[in-house]
Amino acid sequence: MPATRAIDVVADASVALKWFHAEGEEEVEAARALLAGQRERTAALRMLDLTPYEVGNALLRGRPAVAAKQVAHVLAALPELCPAVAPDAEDFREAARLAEKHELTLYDAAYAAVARRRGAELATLDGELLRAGLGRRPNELVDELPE
Amino acid sequence: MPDDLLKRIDSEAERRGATRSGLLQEAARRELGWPDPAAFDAALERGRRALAGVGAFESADVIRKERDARDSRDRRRR
Repeated sequence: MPATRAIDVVADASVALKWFHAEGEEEVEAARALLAGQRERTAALRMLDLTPYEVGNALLRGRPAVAAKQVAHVLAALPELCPAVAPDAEDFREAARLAEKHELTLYDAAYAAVARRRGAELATLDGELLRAGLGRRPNELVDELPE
Repeated sequence: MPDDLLKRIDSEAERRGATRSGLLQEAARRELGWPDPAAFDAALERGRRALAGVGAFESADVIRKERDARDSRDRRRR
């Protein structure tokens, strides 16, 4: 274990997808540095149980239109990299409050709620979460990784 | 640690052909979320290989589109 405490980070799907895909991506190096922190134990990364659904849907049904077999490889890899958190009742209470306050969907607010309740940073490049001040860009967070 | 829990741990370790210490280490890693480096590297490589050659896109954009589409579907169900 490292001498300095790892930073706690919840990564949303917009960051998690960059761990696998680089072409045309913003802040891919920072997103991958956070993931490397997980391997080196300088970052304790978490995703939501929702994240694989978002990643899978975006790849299958979105513009990338990736074949099911390839998507399955990505979805199988995700839990090997970072554990998924299933929000509990208190997380949902906080998510509902944040969703109402910031006019977000409960899905989006759940990321922020799970991060807040665990004293973690939310790493995201999602415009709505960033505008609401509920998440931070990977480029900012990577500077906070312990040496 | 309660005796009954220790018995369950030993029984599971025996079933897996592992030691008590090995089983506890594995459980702690899983609970704490630290990945096994070899499994981590292999999974990452498989995932990256799967998306090699799919072309350029910005993940934040495709994820936002998926989120907006899901929200629209949810609203239409009202």
